[in-house]
Amino acid sequence: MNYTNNLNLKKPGYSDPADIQDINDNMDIIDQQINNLDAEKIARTITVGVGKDFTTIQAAIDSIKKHIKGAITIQVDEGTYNENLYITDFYGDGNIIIKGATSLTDTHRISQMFISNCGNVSISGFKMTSSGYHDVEARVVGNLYMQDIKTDVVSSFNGFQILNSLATIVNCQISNKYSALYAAQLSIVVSRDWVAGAGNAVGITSNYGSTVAKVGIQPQGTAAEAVFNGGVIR
Amino acid sequence: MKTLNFNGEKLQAENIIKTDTDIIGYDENNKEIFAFRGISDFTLFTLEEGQVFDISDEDKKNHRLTDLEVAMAAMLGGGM
Repeated sequence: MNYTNNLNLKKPGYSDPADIQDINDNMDIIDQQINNLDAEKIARTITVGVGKDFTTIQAAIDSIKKHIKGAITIQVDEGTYNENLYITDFYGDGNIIIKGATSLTDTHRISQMFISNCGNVSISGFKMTSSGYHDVEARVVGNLYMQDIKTDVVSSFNGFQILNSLATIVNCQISNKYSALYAAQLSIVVSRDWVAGAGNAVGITSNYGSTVAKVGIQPQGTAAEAVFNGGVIR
Repeated sequence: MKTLNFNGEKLQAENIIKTDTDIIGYDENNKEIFAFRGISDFTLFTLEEGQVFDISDEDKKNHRLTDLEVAMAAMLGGGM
């Protein structure tokens, strides 16, 4: 059996038996690739919860095409979702909006979020429950908006870990972490109107040339702020 | 070179200055390489054994002024 270079399609040799499954597998791969080329052009809402479009948030995220030109909203019902969310590789001038509660509450619970290589992402209204890693990590995100995110689970990691990204963080409450907000690798973060939190080693950390702009109440720590390697907090 | 311990981290700097609210590390060119600001509990920040925090230039000036004032008062026969 040989395979094509790009899509890894099966190419039976002249002496191989003809297997209809090989043909079907090839067609599925081609069909998926064509689907990926198409963009989400029309704004729509996907619901998550018991009896809704999906029962897990990740399944809702995975149902979205990678090329987005409209606003895709994922509306999440109350509940505990033991999920590590991966929001990765969405591009285009549309945006992904994931909505839980409309204020800082414990009603919508997820483990952690990892957002990378995305254009516009907005997430609001979740309590994070993981202690094994940063609650929210963003890498190379063009425009990240986080609101009403909270956690009080004790860990040595950060609440928000923002790397190579532009982000706005509003009305969040992070407690018992190393740093409530950690910005690094030339990130620019607007940090607005927090509920102060407690038990963090550092409130805000800016490292490797990042800039954090403060507006209103900021997260608290044993040290309110820490800067390293050209980081700026102002 | 001095070493600052905080929360399991070790941070090295040529000079580590402590003020009323901050701890700042400088390299040999007097360039700031780290800073902790708005500290509420200094007991969590320690230097390696035998090392002491440095004093800022402003604090050094203030100490000199205080010493001068004490000396002048003594010379004039008064007290502070």
